[in-house]
Amino acid sequence: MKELTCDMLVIGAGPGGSTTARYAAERGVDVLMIEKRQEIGAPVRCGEGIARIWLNELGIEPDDAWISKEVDGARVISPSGHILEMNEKMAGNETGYVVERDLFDQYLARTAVKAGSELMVKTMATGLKQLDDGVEVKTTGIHGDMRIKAKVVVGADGFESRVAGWAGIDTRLPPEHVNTCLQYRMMNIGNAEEFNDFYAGECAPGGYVWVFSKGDGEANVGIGVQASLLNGYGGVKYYLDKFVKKHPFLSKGTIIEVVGGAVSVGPPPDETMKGNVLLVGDAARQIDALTGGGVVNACDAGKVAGNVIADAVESGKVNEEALKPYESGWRERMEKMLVRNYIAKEKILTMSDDFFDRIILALQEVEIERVTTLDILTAVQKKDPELVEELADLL
Amino acid sequence: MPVEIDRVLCLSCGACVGSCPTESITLVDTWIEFDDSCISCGVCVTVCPAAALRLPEKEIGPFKDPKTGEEFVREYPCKDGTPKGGVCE
Ligand SMILES: Cc1cc2nc3c(=O)[nH]c(=O)nc-3n(C[C@H](O)[C@H](O)[C@H](O)COP(=O)(O)OP(=O)(O)OC[C@H]3O[C@@H](n4cnc5c(N)ncnc54)[C@H](O)[C@@H]3O)c2cc1C
Ligand code: SF4
Ligand code: SF4
Repeated sequence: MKELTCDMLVIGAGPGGSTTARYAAERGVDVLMIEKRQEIGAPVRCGEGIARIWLNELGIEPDDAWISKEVDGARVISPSGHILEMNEKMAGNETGYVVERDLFDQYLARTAVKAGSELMVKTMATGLKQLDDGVEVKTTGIHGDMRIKAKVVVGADGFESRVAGWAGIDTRLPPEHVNTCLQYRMMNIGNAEEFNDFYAGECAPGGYVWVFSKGDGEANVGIGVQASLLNGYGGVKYYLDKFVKKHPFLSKGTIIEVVGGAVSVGPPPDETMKGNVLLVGDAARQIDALTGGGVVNACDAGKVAGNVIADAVESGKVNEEALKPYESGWRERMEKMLVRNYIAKEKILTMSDDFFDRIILALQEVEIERVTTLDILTAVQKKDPELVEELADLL
Repeated sequence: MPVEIDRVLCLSCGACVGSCPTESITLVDTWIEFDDSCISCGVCVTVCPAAALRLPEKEIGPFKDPKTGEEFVREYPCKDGTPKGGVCE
């Protein structure tokens, strides 16, 4: 068995892993990243909507190689078809660009490698052991069976994370906190040229349907449904097919790709690190429970993790104490938002189609700057005071 | 391993992997594997967006959480209009 050592081992070359690797490597940390897939980012598991503002923050130059469409905002469409248009600033994390996620993930991995990180694809972690002075990880794959000893391990292994369990961090999700997703990439559809559209209501129990334009009459048409609201098998597909059939602009289209996946929609977990193992991205459940958007959050947390690890390595003491700033650092940046959006999602779960219609109608006619809970309540109060009472506990 | 998989339908999406309460499923690149710690709770069957998984029998529990020792039962909504799949009558 081959033995390797490094400062930091990143498990999973998604957006979270690659960003962590990049920031640490830029500061001279000896980084190895492993990815079990043969091709980074493929098959895609994503609606591919990403906020423009955020790319600037990470110093990523927008590149036509992975952008398929720039969109001007988002629309929320109520069950009876009332439309709420939101500009980019209001819409938040999932609009700005619709990307090719596989190419985007590959681009991020390349920037990590350019920064000095090592990468091994088709290499899968199969187990992990915390040691006194670091972590030992077993892997298998095209480089043969290996034992890798690292000072720090970053579990960036996504929704399906095993690293969490191996490290003794319980991030398991009850079905109430899982939204399971199916998406068709469709061509020859008539609508959805400019916007990212979100369809709310009973068409997607506990979730929503999205239609994200990819330009040229193509769009990602996807659905997320809360697992605890489904019977037996085939529920997700049933709801998506029903939606497509009901909308003529879609039902005439052709499906050219099928995408599956799941996102966590619970509150953030109590702990995302133990010993010298840190979790980043979907593995740490750093996903927005309201929108299911997680690319931005994974990168944001990755940046925090990369810098904290670099600090620890530079100081010569890599232990739980030195790594603790990661836990507080990522929470400072997004925990409030994650909790707020989780509560909002729980509230939305209880809304009927009629209720949705009333809210969208009320919001349609008021100019709001940003879609925050408070703005929504204030706006709704003017239009439909009765609604506010029912929404009150959101405050 | 009581869960049956239709590998033609499977999207290799990992939804089942991250939803399994006993961490009994592994996605080896595009190949789903179950190990014998499975307690037949049927969560993966419900979660699978491709409808690729089946349990031969309806399973509602009680099941034992291997980590906490707590018992739990599965509740299915079985509302009208939803397909009544393999584990929900
Ligand atoms: C259907 C769907 C639609 C979505 N739409 C959007 C959207 O429009 N906008 C948005 O922002 N977010 C969206 N998300 C969420 C987004 O995809 C995730 O939040 C994002 O991918 C998280 O990045 P990550 O780096 O944490 O994990 P991932 O991107 O999942 O990367 C994890 C990587 O780890 C690898 N890995 C796993 N286990 C091992 C192992 N044992 N050894 C080695 N490698 C391993 C995996 O192969 C994978 O490449 C969507 C999710 C789904 C399922
Ligand atoms: S039936 Fe339950 S325990 Fe068995 S693999 Fe599926 S989710 Fe896991
Ligand atoms: S959830 Fe279904 S489609 Fe996805 S990997 Fe598991 S079996 Fe395959």
